[in-house]
Amino acid sequence: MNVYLFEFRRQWRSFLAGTLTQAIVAAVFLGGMYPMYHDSQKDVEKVLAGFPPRFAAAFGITKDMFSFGGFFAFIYVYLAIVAAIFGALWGLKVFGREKLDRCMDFLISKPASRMGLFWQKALVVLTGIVVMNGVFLGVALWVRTSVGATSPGVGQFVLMALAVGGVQLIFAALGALIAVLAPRLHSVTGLGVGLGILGFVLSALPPMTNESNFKAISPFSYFNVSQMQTQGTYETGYLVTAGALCVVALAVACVAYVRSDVKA
Amino acid sequence: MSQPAIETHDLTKRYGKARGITDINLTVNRGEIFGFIGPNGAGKSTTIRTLLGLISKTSGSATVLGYDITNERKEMLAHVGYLPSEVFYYDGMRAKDLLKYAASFYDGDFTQRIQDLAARLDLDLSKRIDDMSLGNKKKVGIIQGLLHSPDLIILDEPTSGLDPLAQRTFFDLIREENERGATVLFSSHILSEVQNICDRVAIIRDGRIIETQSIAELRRTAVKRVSVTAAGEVPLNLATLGLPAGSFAGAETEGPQTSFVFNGDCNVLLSALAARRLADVNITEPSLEEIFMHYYQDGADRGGAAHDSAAQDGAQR
Repeated sequence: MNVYLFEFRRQWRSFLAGTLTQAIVAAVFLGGMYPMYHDSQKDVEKVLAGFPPRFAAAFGITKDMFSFGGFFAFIYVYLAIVAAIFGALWGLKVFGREKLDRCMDFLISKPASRMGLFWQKALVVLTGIVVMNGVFLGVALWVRTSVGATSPGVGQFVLMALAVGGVQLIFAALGALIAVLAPRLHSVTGLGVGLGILGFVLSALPPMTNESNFKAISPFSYFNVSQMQTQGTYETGYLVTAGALCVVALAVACVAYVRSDVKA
Repeated sequence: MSQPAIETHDLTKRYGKARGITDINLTVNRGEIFGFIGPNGAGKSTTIRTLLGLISKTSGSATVLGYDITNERKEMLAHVGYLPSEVFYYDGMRAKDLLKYAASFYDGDFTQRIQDLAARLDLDLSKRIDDMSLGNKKKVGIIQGLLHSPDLIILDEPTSGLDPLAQRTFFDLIREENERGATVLFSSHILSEVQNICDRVAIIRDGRIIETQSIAELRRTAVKRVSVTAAGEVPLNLATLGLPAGSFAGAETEGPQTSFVFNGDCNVLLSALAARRLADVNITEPSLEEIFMHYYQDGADRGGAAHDSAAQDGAQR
């Protein structure tokens, strides 16, 4: 576990930054903005009525956004973009650390299997995701109680909130894949933010175009939080797609990490 | 008899169509200091990186300390210390933290050993590696390569960046490690270093081993440095001596004196010289550098055919 501990020590500040950012976003949106939306429903509805329908759809504005669950579904995309950016950043940084610092020789010439190195690094990223989403979930549940929301129920709300972690897993796996396959890495921050924004842009395509096929290329849309709120289930096909994307990205990254030549 | 420290059979690495190393047959015995010489791009680092599993072989086989380099890589690396030619470490780390991390890959407590090596090399471990000079970074590399007292030490151009004092300490350390029983593979293009410290040497050219001999043998071969001073003021014209084509190289003239490297039958040389009036003759063992240059100039003059046969000879030894 020496690689795990080393990577965790190098990464904890970023984990803390991600966790605090998401906790603040959740507290501000759910604890600060939701009560205002709820209390000013008629005025807000008047404002929103002036929005072009597709523009409103692109930003997740629905008639249901005045309930706690509906508002959560509305802000999901913003929580997802934060999760995606940090997930991609962590995948890129942890798996690309030796490439960034040009010290692959140092690590790979040590008596450790490459497979073992890969999974210790994966465990570090997973730790960050679990901590960030655990704190986020705690904050979201605390706000839910604070604002007196009773619907959706706790179980259903937890499942809705877990969508954010699901998105983060996908982007962390994609970050790891890019880090392993890229011959050279330079700015992982720019790349991570770019991936997160790309995820956001892709998530706007299905509602803007009314073309559901775009959901297949939009990882944010794999978790239909609105459907979870109204029907208590996610779309199985997209859940499987999300899982498969994670598994395939990690498997390809793992094979490449184990087999590829280390450049001098 | 124990297995060799390094044994390769037709070890080959290709980068697509580009040459890496071809049919490397190498045996490094346990306890020896083995030199690996050749110019930049000859294949020294590729051979070392293949042995360490940093790059995968295309064909052939190799064992290091009896471990297969592909299937028993982890076990092998536990007994190997490696100093790469260029040292890069994690950004922002202090030397002591980097070395602590390096030590965590091996069984045991190496705190005292790290401190002892740092003291020998006069290295401040509390400094950030980013702020260190190239020489001090190299010292960090030396410590991380030696801290676990490995059975095999692989050094790739180890002295670049080290000042003469640090080089001396470094060679002392390597000799001590060797006396302890460690085998050393010493890759360099600084021939005087190899000549001073190594027992045997392999010469690599264009990805192939063209000669493997002990330093002493190599200097005793037919290759000789010949210096002849003509009785008059006109130096000897080598072309008129009647020496076989290709048996002499590196001719230099200064006044009546002519120097050249001769590789051939000494009787032919003596007969040719006996027919001339000479003021002086000096036939000495050439330096390793002269031998090395002979191999390379020879190859350039005569093309690859001669070296292909030399490579086969080397492989059979």
